[in-house]
Amino acid sequence: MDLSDPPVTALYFDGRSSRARPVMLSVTDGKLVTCGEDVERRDALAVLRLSEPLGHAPRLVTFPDGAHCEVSDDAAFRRMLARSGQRDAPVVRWQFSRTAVAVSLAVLVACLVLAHEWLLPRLARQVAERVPAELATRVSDETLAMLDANVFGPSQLPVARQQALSARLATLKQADMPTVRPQLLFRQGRPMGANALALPSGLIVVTDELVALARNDEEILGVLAHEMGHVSQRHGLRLAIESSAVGLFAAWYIGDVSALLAGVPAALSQARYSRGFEREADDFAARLLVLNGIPVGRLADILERMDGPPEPLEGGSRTGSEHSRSPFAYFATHPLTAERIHRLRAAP
Amino acid sequence: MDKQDNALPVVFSGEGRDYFGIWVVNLLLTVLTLGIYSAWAKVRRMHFFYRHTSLAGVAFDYHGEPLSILKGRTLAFLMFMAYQISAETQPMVAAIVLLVLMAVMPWLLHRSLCFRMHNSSYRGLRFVFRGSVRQAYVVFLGLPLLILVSLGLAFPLWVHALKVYQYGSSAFGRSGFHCALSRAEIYRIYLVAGMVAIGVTVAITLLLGLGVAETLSVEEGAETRALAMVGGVALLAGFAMMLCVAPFVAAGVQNAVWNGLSLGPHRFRSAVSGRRLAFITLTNLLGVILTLGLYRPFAELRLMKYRLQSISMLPDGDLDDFVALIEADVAAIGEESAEMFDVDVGL
Repeated sequence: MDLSDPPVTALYFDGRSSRARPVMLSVTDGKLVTCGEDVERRDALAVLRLSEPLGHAPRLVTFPDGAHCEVSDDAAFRRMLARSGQRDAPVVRWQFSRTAVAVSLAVLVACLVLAHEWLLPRLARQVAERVPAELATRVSDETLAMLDANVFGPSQLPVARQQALSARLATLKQADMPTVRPQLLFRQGRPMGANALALPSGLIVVTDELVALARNDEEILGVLAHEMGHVSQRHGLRLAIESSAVGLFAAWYIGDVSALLAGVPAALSQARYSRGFEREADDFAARLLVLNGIPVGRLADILERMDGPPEPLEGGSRTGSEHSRSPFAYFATHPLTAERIHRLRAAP
Repeated sequence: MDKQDNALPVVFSGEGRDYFGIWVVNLLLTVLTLGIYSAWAKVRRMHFFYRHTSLAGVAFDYHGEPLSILKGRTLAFLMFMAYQISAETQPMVAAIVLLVLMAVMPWLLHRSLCFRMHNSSYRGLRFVFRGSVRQAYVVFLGLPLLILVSLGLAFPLWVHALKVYQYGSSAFGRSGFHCALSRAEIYRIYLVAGMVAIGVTVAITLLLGLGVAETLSVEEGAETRALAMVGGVALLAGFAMMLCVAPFVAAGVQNAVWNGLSLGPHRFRSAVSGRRLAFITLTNLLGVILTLGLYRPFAELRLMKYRLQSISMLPDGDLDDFVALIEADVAAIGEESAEMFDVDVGL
């Protein structure tokens, strides 16, 4: 019992009417003494509910019969409680300790990074494998329609050439590899230049410029095999799911629904295959080419030619941007392509 | 009789740096417990905002129990999973599940209002929600369907009905609130906002369209591309205008609701400025983006503080005369499922 502690002023409410009564609180022998105009009570500290400290908010003492006290002087209240042996719960102490907050923040950031790098790809893969074929087809058809309207032009390649390439593609043996039924489409790439694009339903679009760039059909088949790898591993779907998840999280966090609507198409248009995806597709291509007796180096050859200054085509149209890292342009002075070429050439 | 001179403003004393610490630690615990701690985090957050809000020198209090909230959240999560799983496997079952959810939602929202009111108190007296379940079905099912049918024209009608239901059916102890909000006021707010938004969007689209038409090259297919681009910009402009106009609508609605609110002889006033609210919302968004999310608790607090401190009470007589109502406990199931399905019945 410490008599040097002055009693703490508080407001008392009896829980039956809204009247506020000024009282004085003090602690004696483990009991809280509440003393004021027509209020006099002693309650054991053990039966009282003491609110957590919360910044500048008044502390609340709740009595078992529904009455309560409001204490504005947090410091004095704390001193009074400390003398009677009351301690704040650990969580409460952490909230107001700068070190604990900094550590918590660091751990949170680490969790976020872990979720993005490890958890999200795995979940996206699981979901992608369960997407029904009809949905994949619908997404692919819509994407193709959008590309045809805004990017591609009709192919200028002779029909016989198109049919020959399609036939060659169809005869590729797949043996025990995950089967892909590719359907080959030809388009004029225009801004996309020499390129090939795989859609989740198995549609593979090849641009006239790529066919022109190739020195032999085996190079084209190499690129097609790579694209088939993207289809078999469902990279397009996995990427869309990952981007959407990131977009959704960002929109939820920022708290603005309209950000979501603007962000999803933006996220998808910024989509790019990660190194992991490219490597998976290259591995698939290498196995497929070897199985069909085509040297893996052919794919590396054409990649080399694509990676560098654009070759001017007849008519002088530009052949794609050099610095984009999206799957819409293999043209890149980015080390990723150089690494891929190196890896393909080193394959047994 | 001008009662302005004895107006009691609502005071919010919470500080960003206190809230930040609470927010971070609670978020970490929530993540580490895979969401289970979120119920405790929510109670703490409610405590923070309630107890830092005071009127006439006395603070508000929140009484929600974490376990009740956890039960509610678990139920909401199960309902969500039931829908997701049935959507994957049996679309017919999913449709039925959705219909069942729609049928049950107004009842859940009613429970959520009861729970929120019952667990809020001031000066030791609990608030009470007296709205009927039948009216909940009108407000949360009937009117939304009307909005669909009327292609959006009934939206202000729904806002009016929601506010009157929420505020007008509440009580403090034994004294009921009365909400004198008129439909005309709400329609006026939305009409003005709508006209401004549409007007500016059309103006931008026209200007852009004219500009593009002048510089159009003879390139094949350029016309369709240009049209698509103009269409895209129009859509973006529309969204941007909606974002800009939203704070003015929110300010207008809050002011209209509180200016028409009374509790016995006591009245209320709200003086939110649309421009200030827009400024706060925009700078908050910038802050959150620039700090990669760290500013979020500060942003939340800043917005809440402005909206709360714009409200004041115009008392007519003593605030000591309210009397409590004894009522049984209300289960928590309602509140959490309402949040899970993203229905905001807040301020």
